[in-house]
Amino acid sequence: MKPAFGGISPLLLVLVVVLIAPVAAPYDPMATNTGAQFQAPSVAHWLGTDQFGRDVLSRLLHGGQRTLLVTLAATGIAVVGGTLLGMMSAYRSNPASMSCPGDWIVFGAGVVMSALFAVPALVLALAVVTLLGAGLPSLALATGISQVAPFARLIATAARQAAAMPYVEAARSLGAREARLLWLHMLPNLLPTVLSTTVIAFAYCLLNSAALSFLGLGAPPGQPDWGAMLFEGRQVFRVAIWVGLAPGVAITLLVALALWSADKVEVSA
Amino acid sequence: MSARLLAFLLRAIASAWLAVTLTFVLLRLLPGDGLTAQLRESGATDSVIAERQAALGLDAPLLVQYGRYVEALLRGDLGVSLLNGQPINSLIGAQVGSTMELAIASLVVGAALGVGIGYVGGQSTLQRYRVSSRAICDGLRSVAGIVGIVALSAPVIWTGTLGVWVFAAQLDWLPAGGAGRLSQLILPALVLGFATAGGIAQVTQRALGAIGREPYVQTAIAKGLSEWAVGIRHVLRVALPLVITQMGIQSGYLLSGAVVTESMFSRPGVGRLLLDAVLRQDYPLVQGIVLWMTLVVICVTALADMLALLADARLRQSTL
Repeated sequence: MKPAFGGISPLLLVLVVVLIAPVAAPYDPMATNTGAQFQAPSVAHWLGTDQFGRDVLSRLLHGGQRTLLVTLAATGIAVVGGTLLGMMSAYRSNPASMSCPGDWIVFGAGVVMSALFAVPALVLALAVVTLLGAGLPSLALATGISQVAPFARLIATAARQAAAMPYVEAARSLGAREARLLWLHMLPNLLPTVLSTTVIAFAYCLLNSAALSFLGLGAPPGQPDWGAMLFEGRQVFRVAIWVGLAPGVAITLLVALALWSADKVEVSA
Repeated sequence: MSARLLAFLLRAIASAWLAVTLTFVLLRLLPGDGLTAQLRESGATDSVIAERQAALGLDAPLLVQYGRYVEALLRGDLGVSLLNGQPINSLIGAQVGSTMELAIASLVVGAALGVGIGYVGGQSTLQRYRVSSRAICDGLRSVAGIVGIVALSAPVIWTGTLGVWVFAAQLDWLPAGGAGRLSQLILPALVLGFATAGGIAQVTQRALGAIGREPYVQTAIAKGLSEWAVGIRHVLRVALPLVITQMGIQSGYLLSGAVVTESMFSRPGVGRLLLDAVLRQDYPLVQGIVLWMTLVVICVTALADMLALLADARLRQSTL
């Protein structure tokens, strides 16, 4: 394994653990227990119980899986959209053929990027949710779309630098077509950048998708989800701060780990 | 110099026009536009719907509609809300003050905290020349590093609750929400400012790291200047344009954060208005607010770019 990819192995490990964590949940995350409301953390309930007597640890573990699946789907959208858009700005028209619209592709990609980039991420996501309606799939799509422009900008910068490298010139002088150059010659060389950008996009998708479900645009009410749990915690913080504490710590640690991994990948790249 | 300023201005205008066009296209992409859907749901007949569409000019060719839309925008007219028929201008206008108050206060907090954290965290290169108190500085640097990472990573929806819990519920120093008094601004501004500080600290720290290796810094230290003099006057001063640019970029983040912060602290504001519009599917109002926020970001970014230019002696000298 290349050192660049070794940088994200701790993150991958944590992601796998979060995805399979519901197995370890001691209680049913939806089971209400009116006799056990607002119990502080104890041996029976490690992280306490919420206003319906539901076990916070079980909800944290189940909610993590849901939040992570949405975030991963959103990251996928950001990576595909951002890479396509970003790579296009390194497109160069072939001087041999008059019909090649290379300059227009670069111009168009730049225009779309700068317009999208000017819309605040969460605001763009809210606009997309308005068009598609609330729910987890549209939440993932909205969060992903709002990270396309920041992603594309980072890729575009790296791609433009790569376009000036001798290996690109060599391939071009051998007669490689522009699409082949971009996707088969340059993209593999840019993989470390794509990887570190992906991890950063993951961090922001996690923060934004949690914010959207905090605002009530995610899972149906009652379903565990880190953003929704933070909302419940905000409601009851005066009597039970532990309800909102756990998901907050979880999100912060995961985002911090992602940003740290992105740094590692960048340094070793 | 003036050519550069002109380039910034042109780019800002181009982005603004794009944003306008994009929001127009986005609204037309709606599967069966919102108005028709709403009318149909309320049991209106086809002729009533056609009449209503004609009254709003929705039956005209797209290009004509686009022309009208842009023309209305140039007059500063954003249309009317679907729900109550009020002009969107006045709906936004009524909330701008509160949001600007929050954004500016948060930016001040974020800039002070961010530059502070970044300065302490990024001083490693200066420390190479330091003889005494290295241990204290190393300790401070690790603390700054941790605070910076937490500021970048902690979601506002969580730090907000923590802040209210500590300062309102436990200590009872500040009110938990509302707006109007200065005391009600402090907590939201601290929460949003802390989140903003993360990005500013990162840029400051990286800039200080790069600048600290420049030979002129070594010269300044060799001349016998105190570390503070070198750090503030020679290093931080040069990093200033980068920090200003970053603060411009953070304006979008501030508006995103305002949506969440305003609803957490039950403050009025444009973010809250946007959230209400989203929940009620008031498409024109969402479109108007998105456009307004985008234009604000474009203006602030352009302004920051120009300020950065003015703050950078090297760029000021160069002719483009």
